[in-house]
Amino acid sequence: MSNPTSTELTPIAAAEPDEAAVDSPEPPPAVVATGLALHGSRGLVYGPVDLVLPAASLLVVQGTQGAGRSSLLLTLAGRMVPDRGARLTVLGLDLPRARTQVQRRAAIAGFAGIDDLDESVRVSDLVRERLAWLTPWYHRVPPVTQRAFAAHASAVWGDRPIPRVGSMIWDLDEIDVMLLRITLAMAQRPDLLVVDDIDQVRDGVRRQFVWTRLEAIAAAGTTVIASVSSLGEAAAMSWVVPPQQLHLSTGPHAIAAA
Amino acid sequence: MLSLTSTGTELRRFRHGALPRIAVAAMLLIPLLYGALYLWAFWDPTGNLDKLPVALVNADRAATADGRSIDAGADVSAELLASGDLDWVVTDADDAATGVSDGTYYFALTIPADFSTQIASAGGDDPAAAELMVTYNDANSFLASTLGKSAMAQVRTAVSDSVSEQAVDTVLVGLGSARDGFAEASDGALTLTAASGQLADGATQVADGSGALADGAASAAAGASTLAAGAGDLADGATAAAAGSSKLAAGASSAATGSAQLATGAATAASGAATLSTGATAVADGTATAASSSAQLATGATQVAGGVDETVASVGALAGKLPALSAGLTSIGQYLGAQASAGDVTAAALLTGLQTATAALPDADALATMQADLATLDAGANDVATGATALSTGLDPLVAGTREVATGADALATGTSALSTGAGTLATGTSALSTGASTLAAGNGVLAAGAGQVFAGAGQLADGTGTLAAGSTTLADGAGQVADGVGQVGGGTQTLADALRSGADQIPADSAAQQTQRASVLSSPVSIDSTDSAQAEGFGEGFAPFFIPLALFVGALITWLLLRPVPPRALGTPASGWRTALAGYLPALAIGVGQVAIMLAVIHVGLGLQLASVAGTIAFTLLIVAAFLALQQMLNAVFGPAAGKVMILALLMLQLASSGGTYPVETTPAFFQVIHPLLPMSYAVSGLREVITGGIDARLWTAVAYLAVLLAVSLALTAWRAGRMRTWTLGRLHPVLEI
Repeated sequence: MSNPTSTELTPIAAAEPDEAAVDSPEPPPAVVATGLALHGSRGLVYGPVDLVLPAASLLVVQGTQGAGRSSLLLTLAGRMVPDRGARLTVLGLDLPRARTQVQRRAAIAGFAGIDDLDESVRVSDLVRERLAWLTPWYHRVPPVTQRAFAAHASAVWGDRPIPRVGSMIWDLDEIDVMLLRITLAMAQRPDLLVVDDIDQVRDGVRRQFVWTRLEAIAAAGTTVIASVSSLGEAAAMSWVVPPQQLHLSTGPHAIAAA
Repeated sequence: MLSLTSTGTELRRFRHGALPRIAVAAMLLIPLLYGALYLWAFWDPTGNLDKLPVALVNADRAATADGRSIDAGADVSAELLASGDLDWVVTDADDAATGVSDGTYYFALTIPADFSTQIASAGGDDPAAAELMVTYNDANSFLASTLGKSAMAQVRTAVSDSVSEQAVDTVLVGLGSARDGFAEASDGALTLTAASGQLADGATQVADGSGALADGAASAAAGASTLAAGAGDLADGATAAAAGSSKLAAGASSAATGSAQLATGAATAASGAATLSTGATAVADGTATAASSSAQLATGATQVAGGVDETVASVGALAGKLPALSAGLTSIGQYLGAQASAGDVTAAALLTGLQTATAALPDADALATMQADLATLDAGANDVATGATALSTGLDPLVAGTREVATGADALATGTSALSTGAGTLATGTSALSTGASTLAAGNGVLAAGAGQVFAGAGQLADGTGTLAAGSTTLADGAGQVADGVGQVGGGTQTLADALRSGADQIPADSAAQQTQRASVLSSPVSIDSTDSAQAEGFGEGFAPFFIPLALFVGALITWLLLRPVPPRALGTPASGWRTALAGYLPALAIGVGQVAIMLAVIHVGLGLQLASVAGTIAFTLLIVAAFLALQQMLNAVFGPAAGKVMILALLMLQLASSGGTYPVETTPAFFQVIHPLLPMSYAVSGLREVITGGIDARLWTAVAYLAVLLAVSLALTAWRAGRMRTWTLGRLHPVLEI
């Protein structure tokens, strides 16, 4: 059996909800979780997690490989069912009962085995495919032009040059692949964006850019939950507003949070 | 393009690079390899049998029949070589045996030495079927043996047609004779009818006669009973007669004994009388003398007294022997009594006689009386002597008297002598009477026994005649039935005569030409004029409906190995299960359409498969591939990629065995017959048969309906499953087993 779970929610800075409540009516928290845990056939996967995440904020979930990051993120996005007994409300909806509604409002990106991009296709093909799936079946989906792609991608890419729609995926930089996956998820216009494994952008400078863009997305109103394995990631990166952090240490290789 | 029909990037990812393009080519061509290549190899094996090396050994020796020489072996081998059905190699027996054994020849046909002889025998007295001998070796190739057997059946038909014509011709000649024979038989039956009428009359008379016999026998039985009664009476009478004559014999015997004694006594008396006469003379003389010498008289008187004493003594002795005789008779009586008790009739009769005789003997009292009398006699004699003395005194007057006495005594002697003679005659006669009575007794015994036998025999005679009377009645009944039966025989033989006449009329009275024609038809009376409502051109076309769906099922399997049945990226979106299912299905269907197009084109153009309905074949084949793809996608989606693919392979094997594409499913074990109507390939095969070979009927529409329902249900299940797959489980996120 795994070691006793140590989960802690550490506000890095004084970004308290009280301050935001000064000038606008407080929106409901994006995530409220109490005793959230998941057991599999091999034992505890994650948890228990107690979490309150305000809307339009950024949560960094830190945990090593096998600590249950992907499972926790899928659970928060309404795509996995936690143990009975946990209380979980996402975007004001009770999970796991209201999974279908949460799935419509929460988008996922960066999950290995789920939203991997085929290497040998063009950017436009992937965008058009995603748009087709998100459009009513009787709508026609035209080929994606550079202009149409830019309309979708600019919010994610920021000031970084947007790739050509005719580019092959295998020609893209790893940060562009990550940003494209986030762009495809954002095509759903979600209220909650869940991004797994930011570490797949291996270069720290590029990863900093991704974090910055995620902060911008959160600032634009979409609550963002992103996971990373590096223990000191939040401390190493620079933030406009220090994000909330959640440390997961589950399983045989758990490392105690610093 | 509607967003629904978008195939996404599933196929686009194969556009770049050599290997992805090879993968697409493989998906498109695998069905071609499975379907067309197989069909190509097996396109027309029976059409190429002339390349199959087969040994032909002709060991036949020519024979002679009806003056014609028959060399059937040479004829048959020449015909086979000319036909060229197989690659015949004429060789000898040793080479053929070696060749079949080592595979040089697939099999060997041997025409045996007596082949012509046997064929000639068909028209002869001892017809025997001619034999061709074939040696197979399944180790060479089982199917070659099977093909050879069907080829041999054709050879046999051809040979036997020509051989049997000759035999049938002979039979027809015999039938002509049979027609004549039937006419004669009809006449004979008519004669038999008349004769059976007479037989019926005779049987009636027998019945009457045996009735009379029964009556007579009854009378005879009554007479025999009377006879038996009479014979019984006779037996009783004879027995009584036997008993009486026995008594008579016994009495006669006693009389004989008495007569003998009387004779003896008379003789003694005669001699005594003679002596008396002499004595009287002497007395007279003596008296005369005595007159002078009375002393002498006295003396003489004394001597008389002495003689009387002796007589008394001898009679006493005779009487004394009587008890001993009585005792002996008693012993005999006891013996006879014992015998009579043992059932001896004769002994009983003798015993009766003996007892009668014994009773006749004097008893002790009589003897005592007699002895007393004798004593009195003795005393008298003594008195006489005394008197004589006295007499001598008084003799003188006596002399005259004495002289008269002497004369009288002389006359007495004469008379006594005559008496004696008569007594002897009496004794002899009585003895003869006794003997005769004995004989009579014996004869009466025999008569009684015989009468007993007559009685018994008469009883049996009465019984026998009774039985005879009963039997005669039965005989009379039986003879009556015979008479009836013979009447029916008469009717039956009339029918027989009629039937024989009509039978003779039915046997054809053929001319020689007609006979030849009839022989030709009879030798091969049936020729098959077959009509195929839908005809497959050959092996290849026959098997195409099996190989095409088989190829498409394998093609679908390969397709789903390379394409993702449920695109995971679509699962990451909130798209509905329907959209996700179609997002996975449509790219595969595009591949499937390509597979169908390539395979059908190659089979049609390359192999020359003629399609009865081109549009129907294409449409139905597309339906097959659509249904197979949907089914396999559903199995992959519902059971997961690992278990799903195992199930698809298992399903492929079950369908191979049960679809009825090779052998009719009815020839397979019950298990396959049960699953046959459940599995889609069965319908694919039967539907393709109709669109390729022709003869479209309800089976095609059943197949279309089944496949359409299978397609719809599979897609629906995939959609339902895809909707649920938007929620991951740990097992799907981190699969334990991956294929």
